[in-house]
Amino acid sequence: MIAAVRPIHVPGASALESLRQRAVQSLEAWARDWVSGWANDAQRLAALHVRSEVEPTRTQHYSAVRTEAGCAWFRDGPADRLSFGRAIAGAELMSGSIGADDWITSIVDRAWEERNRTLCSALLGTSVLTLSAASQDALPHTLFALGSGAVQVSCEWLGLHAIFDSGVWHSVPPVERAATNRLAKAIPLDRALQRATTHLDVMLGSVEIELPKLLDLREGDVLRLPQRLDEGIAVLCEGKLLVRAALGELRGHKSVRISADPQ
Amino acid sequence: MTTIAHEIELEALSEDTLNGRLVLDSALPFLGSVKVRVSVRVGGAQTTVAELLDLKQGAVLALDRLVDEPLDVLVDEHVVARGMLVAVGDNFGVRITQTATAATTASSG
Repeated sequence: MIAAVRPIHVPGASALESLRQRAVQSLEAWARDWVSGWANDAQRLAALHVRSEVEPTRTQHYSAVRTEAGCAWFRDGPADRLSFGRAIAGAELMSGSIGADDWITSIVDRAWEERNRTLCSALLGTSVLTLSAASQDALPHTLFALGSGAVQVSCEWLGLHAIFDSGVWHSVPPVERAATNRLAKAIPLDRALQRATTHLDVMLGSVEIELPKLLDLREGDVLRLPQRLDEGIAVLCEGKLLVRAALGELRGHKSVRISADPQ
Repeated sequence: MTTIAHEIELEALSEDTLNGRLVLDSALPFLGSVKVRVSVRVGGAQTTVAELLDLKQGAVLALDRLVDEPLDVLVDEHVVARGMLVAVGDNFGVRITQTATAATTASSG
């Protein structure tokens, strides 16, 4: 069986921060149009978080947004809508149930859609193609996998809990390359290989012995090997026969003179 | 066809020895047919891949052993004894000069 191979995205803190700033800026522009009394709430967006760990939630309902560059899913549970409604219309208008006033409900719905559209354009860098409803089961499973590249954007005040797929990274410019020259210069593979070391074993030979005989082995016993004196002895590399050689001495060390390759 | 599967209850075992009798003694006749591969190593050498690729017939490789040092007798890549290189007729052989038990006794005594 061939295991599936997928890339692992490791977004850096600075990349996540650049996404966060872009999200905040776009929502500020949106909020000026849609949030009543925005001037008092301007600091609220400071609590917007962008994280690279994405967790599934218990809420089943999502608003899905599709663009050319990627997709996003906005959690769309009653609590999210309520927080959102309070943020834009004020707590007193939203104190009743959401359906209480059709006029307010329609504004909240429109603002919700615009918010999602604005955030998607800002983070995915392209215009929005479609908006639709989706259930959590319809979300790609890969979003929640480690290193999927998906990011989670959340802001309690706006009832915002969105998952963006790895498409968000297409619009993030690469980080400054200043650090590159700290890295060691790559050298050609053949040169690296030449410096790689390996261990050779010079083996006289081997023989199979019955266990009781081996356990009885005493000093002075002689083991006769099947290898003949005129065969030469084996030079092994990683357990494989490399060449044959004759035994000798060189400057006080045991040595071998290479006689022939094994073929 | 259905296969009937029963769960097996495992008997609890305690580590107490019941009568302490060795089982190996009586099993030795069976173990007698067990064969173990014993290898004899003269020595080794560290080389680079470049040196290896440049190896020519007649080249001499110095090993990591002095001339008078014994050979290693190996079982499963572990040294179990050491010995002297000898010729046995037309074959190589090794005369055991030190076994693992002797080495242990020597080091402990």
